[in-house]
Amino acid sequence: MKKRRIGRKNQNQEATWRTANVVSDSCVSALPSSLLREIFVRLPVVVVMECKLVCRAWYKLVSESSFTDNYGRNSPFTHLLLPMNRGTADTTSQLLYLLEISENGGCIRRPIKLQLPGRMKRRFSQFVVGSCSGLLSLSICKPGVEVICVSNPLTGECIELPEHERDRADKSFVLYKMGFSPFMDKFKVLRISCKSWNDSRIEECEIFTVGVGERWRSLGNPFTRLCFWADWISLNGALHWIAQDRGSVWISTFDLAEEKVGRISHPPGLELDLSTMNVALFRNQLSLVDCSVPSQITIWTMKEYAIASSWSKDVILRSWFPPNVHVNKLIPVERLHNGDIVFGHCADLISFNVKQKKCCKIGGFGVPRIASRIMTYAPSFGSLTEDTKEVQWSTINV
Amino acid sequence: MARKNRNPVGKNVDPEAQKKKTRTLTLKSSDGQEFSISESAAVLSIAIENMVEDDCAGGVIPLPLVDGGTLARVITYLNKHAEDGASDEEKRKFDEEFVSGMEMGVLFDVVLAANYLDIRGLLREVRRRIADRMKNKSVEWVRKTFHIESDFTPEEEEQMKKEFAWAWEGVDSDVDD
Repeated sequence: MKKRRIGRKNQNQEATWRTANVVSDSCVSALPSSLLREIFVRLPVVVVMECKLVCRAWYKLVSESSFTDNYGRNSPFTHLLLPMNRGTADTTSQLLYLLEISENGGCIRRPIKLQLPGRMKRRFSQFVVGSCSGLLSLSICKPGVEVICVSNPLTGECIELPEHERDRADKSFVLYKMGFSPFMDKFKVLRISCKSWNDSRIEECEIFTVGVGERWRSLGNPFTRLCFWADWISLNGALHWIAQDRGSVWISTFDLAEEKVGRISHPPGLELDLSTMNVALFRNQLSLVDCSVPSQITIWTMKEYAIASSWSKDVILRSWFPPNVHVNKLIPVERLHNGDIVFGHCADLISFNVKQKKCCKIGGFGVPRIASRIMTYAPSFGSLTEDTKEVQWSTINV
Repeated sequence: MARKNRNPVGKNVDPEAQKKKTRTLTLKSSDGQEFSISESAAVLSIAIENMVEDDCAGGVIPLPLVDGGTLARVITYLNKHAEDGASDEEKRKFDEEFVSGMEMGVLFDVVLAANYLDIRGLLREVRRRIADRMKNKSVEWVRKTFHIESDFTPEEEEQMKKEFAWAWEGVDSDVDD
């Protein structure tokens, strides 16, 4: 296998055809690029993608990692993904919906077809197992084979991670977690295997650096036990989740650059409980969704990362939600400009009006049952790697 | 800043507070038109403020990158925003109407002028308006409007359209925005 590099900061990795004639003057635009960047930031994702088709200079402008960062910080839209986990029976359905919520709470839904490696297009079941910094990790499996792919759904790029050798009689249970380290500018995927569904003791833990590693590296056993339903979020170059062992519960971190386990302080005075609490990424901050009091849901947000005293909370009463809402399935995703809090609830979006203490469904798309739950998502417009791009382009015509 | 007090010898200077409202500046466009504007309105442009502070503003301020028509529009904006007693709501409404009738070419001229003169509020407003106009438009429309000729080969373009095929599929929308 050709050694692949993935560096979003490295602008030299554009495919050669693209860079060949990119001279700033080759495309004389009415506006200088500094102004164009600021205009593009205000556009919906699909229009940004269309801008890439205008000319080489615009293609380059949008593909720069600095543009993706700027868009993440300043776009007036909030983006979410709704993956459609598809089984073997249905090979024609869309695999993903991109949800784009504007400042006024309006929501547009757009289907995205994921580009998969050619041999995986048929008769494999696919599951989106993670979303992080614009990339998705997908699990593609049929009996005896499981392959993890890392994909940028906007550009259609897809990197296949090495298959894991696995005995067919092996009954162990495997989870994958993906994170992004801005310090290394690298994505890493963790593969954690437990004895079985019933036994949460971890047997093995391996890591793969996307674009660099050629094989899974063993990490030994840095984690104690695994809770299957605990969410893991990637923030500030580390993964965060609620961990439990022998009666003690804490927010655990895994530094992706150092590959070391650590802890981060939880809200002072709060007793953590795995069955009623989960971590979430709310407004790009570490947050803790607390449903331990049956009559309310509390969203704790760590305003300044790793500062224990910066935890603050929003309390929302259970009675403000309609009876068919399962409070423990609410995932806070964004606070809109008017102060409303948007929650993902399974495959639905619920907007909560703080002043009127009312909530309403936004979208109302009539989502099919096979939809999984809503994921937070930060669009990434750049090229994943140089050589996967070429591979993909050459296979399009086959 | 510190250089504010360094005035040319022999010039009588009003006290700071009075100075800006009463003093008028003359701005000269690229095509030679001259416009009078109160200093309090003119200094909403950071670039002009710097020129005034640097004492380049003794007589006429030449703005060689802004034509007369555009400068007239910019001055309308500045006067409104420097107006005594204009509420934020009034200004917001003015901004809305100010840009709504402009053609794309005019918006480009104004955004370039606002960028050059460093008028933050105007820049933000016009950028937003340009972005709004770009929604739901074809790539060809964008090229024509921005005076861009595609430098992709037809093959490249064909492949890219395939790559971005998802973007041309149906859109479900609840709220038009």
